[in-house]
Amino acid sequence: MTVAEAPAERPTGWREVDDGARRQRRRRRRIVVGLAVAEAPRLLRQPLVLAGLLLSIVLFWRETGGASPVLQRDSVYVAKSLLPLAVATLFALNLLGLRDRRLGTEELLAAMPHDDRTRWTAWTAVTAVPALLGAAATAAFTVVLVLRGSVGAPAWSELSVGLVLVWLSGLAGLALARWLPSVVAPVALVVLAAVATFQLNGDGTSRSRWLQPFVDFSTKADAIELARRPTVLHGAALAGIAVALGCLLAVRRRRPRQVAAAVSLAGAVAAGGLQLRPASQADIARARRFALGAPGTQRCASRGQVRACLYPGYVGWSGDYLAAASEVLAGAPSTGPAGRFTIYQRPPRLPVDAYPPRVLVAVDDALYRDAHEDSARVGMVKATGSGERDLYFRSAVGMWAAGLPPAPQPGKRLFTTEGDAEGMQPPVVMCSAPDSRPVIGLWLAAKDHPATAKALADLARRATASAGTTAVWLIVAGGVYVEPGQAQAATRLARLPESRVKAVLRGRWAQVRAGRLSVDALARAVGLVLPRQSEPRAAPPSITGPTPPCP
Amino acid sequence: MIPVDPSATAANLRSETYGRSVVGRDLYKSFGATVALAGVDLSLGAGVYGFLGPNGAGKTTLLRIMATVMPPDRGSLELFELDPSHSLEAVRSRLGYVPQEPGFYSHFSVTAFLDYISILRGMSKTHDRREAIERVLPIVGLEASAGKKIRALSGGQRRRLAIAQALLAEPRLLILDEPFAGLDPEQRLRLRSLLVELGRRTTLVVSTHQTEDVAHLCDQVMVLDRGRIRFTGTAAELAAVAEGRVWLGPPTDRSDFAQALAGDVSRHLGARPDGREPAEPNVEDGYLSLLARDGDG
Repeated sequence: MTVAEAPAERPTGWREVDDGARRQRRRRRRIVVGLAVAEAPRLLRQPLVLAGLLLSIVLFWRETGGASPVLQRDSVYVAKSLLPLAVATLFALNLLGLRDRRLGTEELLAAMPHDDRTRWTAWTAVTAVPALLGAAATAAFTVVLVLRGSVGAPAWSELSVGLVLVWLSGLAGLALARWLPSVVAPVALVVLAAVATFQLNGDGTSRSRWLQPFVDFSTKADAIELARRPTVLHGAALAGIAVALGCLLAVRRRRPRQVAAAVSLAGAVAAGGLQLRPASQADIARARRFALGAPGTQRCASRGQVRACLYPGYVGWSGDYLAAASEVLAGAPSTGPAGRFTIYQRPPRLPVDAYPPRVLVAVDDALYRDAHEDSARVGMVKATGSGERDLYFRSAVGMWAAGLPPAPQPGKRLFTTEGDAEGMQPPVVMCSAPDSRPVIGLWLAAKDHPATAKALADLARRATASAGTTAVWLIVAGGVYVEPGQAQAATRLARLPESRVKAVLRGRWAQVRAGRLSVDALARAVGLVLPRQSEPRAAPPSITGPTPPCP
Repeated sequence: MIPVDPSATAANLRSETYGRSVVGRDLYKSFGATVALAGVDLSLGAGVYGFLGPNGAGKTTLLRIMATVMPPDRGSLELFELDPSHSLEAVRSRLGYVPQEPGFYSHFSVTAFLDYISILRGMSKTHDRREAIERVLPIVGLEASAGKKIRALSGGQRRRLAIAQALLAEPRLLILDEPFAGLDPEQRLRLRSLLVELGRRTTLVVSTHQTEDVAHLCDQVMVLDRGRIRFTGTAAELAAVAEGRVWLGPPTDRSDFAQALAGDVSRHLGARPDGREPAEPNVEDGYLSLLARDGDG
């Protein structure tokens, strides 16, 4: 043997290198920072991350491209757009965590002065990089929305949820690499998250909803969402889980790690619990006031005889409404009706069955969704939107100018698919006017506006194209049930010289407004030959009773 | 077993212990029922040490323990007069280790990989890291490949890169497990020259199957077999183990250790066969003789 006997005692001068815990921690911190700085650019160049970013951009375009931009509403879509980046981050960080195992460098690195926890801590720090990339994307998306002419202000809590999701995904990828090192694990997690999001939740009332990491932000006309899932609480729950994961991955000493993780998880559970609390009667009353008390909750602006009232996030659109309504009214051949034309913004349709009595209706979130689809009370639609949207708004103004009601009449419930048991949503009511007023209303809407005229012609053609089709599409035009023949007559009228039509109407304006000028008489007076009308068509099944005459 | 270092008394060993890079006592390691190390004592000072042994002798296990990658089940280890279990960071910062099959981040460039390792070795300043990389690349002859991706390097270049990463922190102890494996003769010669150079400034521990490399490279040779050190001494001393047991003559099938040298002349180890001439033993003869004699009991 080379060494027969070991020294019994350490001699004088024995030197134990111990720089002290503090200095060691400082050295370790420097290494963590150095590694994180070295890894960050590589992560940003990772093909998965780049692909995720690209898909996020595509998703953003898809989600926000079709609607008139409203920052408060679109903040939800901006956050949702980061989901591809979040999924890509999960996979990228998982690959990073598995790198030494995959490439066989574990033994080489095992002999380094600092153990592998230093690297895990650095990687945990690196999860901030995709989150920062998400922040940059969020900022860029918001700028794009602003450049598109968005109104309102961003919903910061919604935007932050997207960033937390990206951060949490990175941490989850690392956690899987550390504690479940398999390439299958992140795939399984994504599948589970998707199942939890789209299946587990069901109708949106599941008590496990706050556990869903990838929440489908879409309310899908199910206005339960905001009430049951206030964004701040959802963000807090996700952040709590993220911090707990981060603590377990990064913090070295056992006790602080456990305490921090436990506190974070407790915070997540508390936020999730609060998120699921049932709505109180006061909450419901408040939502009711918000939904139905438009004059009290909307901000109004006036121009001439037009007054436009909008919820705060939409105030930027007031000028468009005022201008468009003023233009239609100014086109009337004679003085319009006395009084002021008022535009109110109305919450969209709320399905009756989805709202048990104790559930708070999230009016404001639902308000942002698909707001243009049914604007019974005029003014839900951005006035300078597509031609069809212009038609909805302008024709309602035109109807009013021609002496028809611009909004549904309370107490005359005919169209039963609207409204709800709680009275949050009044039923939409239509009246019919077989005389020339609907025709003139539509003509006023279309005559000075090519996009509206085209939309009117398209809709009239579709309404008369097949038997059984009725002009219920004009339900939004102030609740006037427009026959296809009336829509067709308006289209032809719009092609005539405006001066001729105006001259005819000027002498008969009082007759028109009293509903005593028939469509045929109007046609004869302006020299218009109308096609022979077929038998009156039956009302669509959704209309349950006879359409009352318009006042 | 052959007591090859009879002059190493307890007293002078104790005096040698301090100032030595590695001192191990009764190192024992098993994997299930397989005993990899069965009580190894060793003391390594300055110089180049070569570990020889057949497959499964425990060379890699011993090197891993010395590199603090793996703790022994039993026994004690001191590196640079420090106990790794108490001063792991200090110990590791002074040693460089190249495993038998070092993995690489193949998508990294040579420089990026060395930079990464430099960070892991505690070099937080970019300037320091750059200097260290510029210092080690010429040593291993990889200056021209600095910007290449590791996946584009040859086997020999990768081996040199592995050594380069071990040299970054200017280690006092450099442990190389099978550094010549898979290299062609030219690469082997180049690496051997490099190791000779490195051995002048650091304690170098090399495990290998190649007795020729050991003969050219090592100041001290240790032969491991079945978890125990069977021999410690110089290459010449190892060769001397076969003194009087090496013979030259025509090829024959009788000897298990016949080696054809050239043409009809072969080298025989063991008792003198008929018609053979005595020959000068070399390291390989000593190694084979040692294992054969030990195997014979």
